[in-house]
Amino acid sequence: MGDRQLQSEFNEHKRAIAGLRRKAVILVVVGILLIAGALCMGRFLKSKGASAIAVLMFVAGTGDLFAAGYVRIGANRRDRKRRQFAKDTITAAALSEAFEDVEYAPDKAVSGSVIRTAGLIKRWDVQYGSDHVRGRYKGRVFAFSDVELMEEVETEDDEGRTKVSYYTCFKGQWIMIETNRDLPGELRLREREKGNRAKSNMETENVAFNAKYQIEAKDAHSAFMMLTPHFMEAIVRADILANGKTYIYFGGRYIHIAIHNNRNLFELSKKNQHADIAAMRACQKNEVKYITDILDIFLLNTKLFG
Amino acid sequence: MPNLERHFMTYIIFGAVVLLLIIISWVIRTLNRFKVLLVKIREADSGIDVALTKRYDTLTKQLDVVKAYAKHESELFEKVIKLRAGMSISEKNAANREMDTLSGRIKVVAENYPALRSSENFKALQAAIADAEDHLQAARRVYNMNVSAFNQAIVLFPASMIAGGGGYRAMEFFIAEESKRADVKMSF
Repeated sequence: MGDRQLQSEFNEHKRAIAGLRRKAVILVVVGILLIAGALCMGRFLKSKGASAIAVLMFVAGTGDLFAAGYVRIGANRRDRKRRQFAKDTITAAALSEAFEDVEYAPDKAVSGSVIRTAGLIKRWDVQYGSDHVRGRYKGRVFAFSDVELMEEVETEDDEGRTKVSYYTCFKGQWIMIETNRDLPGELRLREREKGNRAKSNMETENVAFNAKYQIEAKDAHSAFMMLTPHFMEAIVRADILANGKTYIYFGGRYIHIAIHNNRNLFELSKKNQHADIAAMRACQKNEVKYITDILDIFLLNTKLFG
Repeated sequence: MPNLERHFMTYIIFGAVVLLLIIISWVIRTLNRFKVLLVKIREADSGIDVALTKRYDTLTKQLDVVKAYAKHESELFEKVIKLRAGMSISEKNAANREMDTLSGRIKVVAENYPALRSSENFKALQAAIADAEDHLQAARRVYNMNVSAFNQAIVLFPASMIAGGGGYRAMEFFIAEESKRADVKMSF
């Protein structure tokens, strides 16, 4: 699909959404006016005819409000279609440019069982996710998606009623890269939150690294086989690029990099939803680059990815 | 008055006993911590032994392969590296340095013999040596991590008083050769 055709499709979506939203607003205003008018008539005019008109106006006003809601739902549905269209065209193209053998599933995410196996986030109950991408980057198999993990918390009010609420314990990207061999052991790195003094079960010679991450390793020897001095510095560099809290798991043949940055990639934000195709494309490429920059740093480790 | 004095004395004795118990339990805990760290150091030391032996065996095999190709240069490899049980850390450091030198010499000789470099056996041994060196680096770092923890534990006050009385001394690190610190090739 050419740029001009894409742009006209987007413009068509934009016009339709704007039209539906305008209609919804008008319907709401008319509905409110009708209901207000009906209430006034009912209060001040006592004749039978006036009462009948007031009832009719009230019914019409209520119907108007329902119609406004229906139109608004239609606008939202159309907006979702536009977002899906953006993902199918612009995002998919940006991904194909950067990666080989790409499989892009906007509605899927890294599976919950994989996240549980990694064991980076200790407590979570509900998982949401989107934009699952799988493919090869510089010859290495990778996968990533947006992931949101929520923990269920039960609280009791003064009258003893139990209230269940959910709070987000992780929101960001979950990236997996395949290494060139079975890793010698399991290792977990969790970037410390402010005031988190959770003890590591080993210490490296890099004091800053020890302070930044909680290190959880089954045995120190295999952890040191993976956490070489250069690689530790590379991890810190990747963490700076990620601009969020980073959690890393080494196990099996995969390295998992979970970045808690409260971001949702490949979505049309309010800022760029009215932009032209070139601006949207630049924005999506930028988001792909965010991932490739992090992958690039890890792939520098020729022992694991050579 | 005498009653008050008797109570006062009881409190003092009780306080002193509690304090003494606290001190004794702290001394026991500190001594146990030293012992745990020493056990960890011994375990890490045996890890170094395993890795050093593995490196030594692989280097010996590689040396045999090289000698078959470079008979004229066998004097380059005359010096014998000795590995024996119960070596001190400084002796292990020395043996490791000698292995570094030998490994360097093998690489230099191999440069002059393309047939040797391209032989499958030599390539496989090179890979095995790289693996043995990785293991040695990891074992060295585990050992040094435990030695560092022990050395810190015995110099920090008040544990340093017990360490001094118990004859605990700072332990020697297993030192890596400068070139071996560049353990992972990172290509920029």
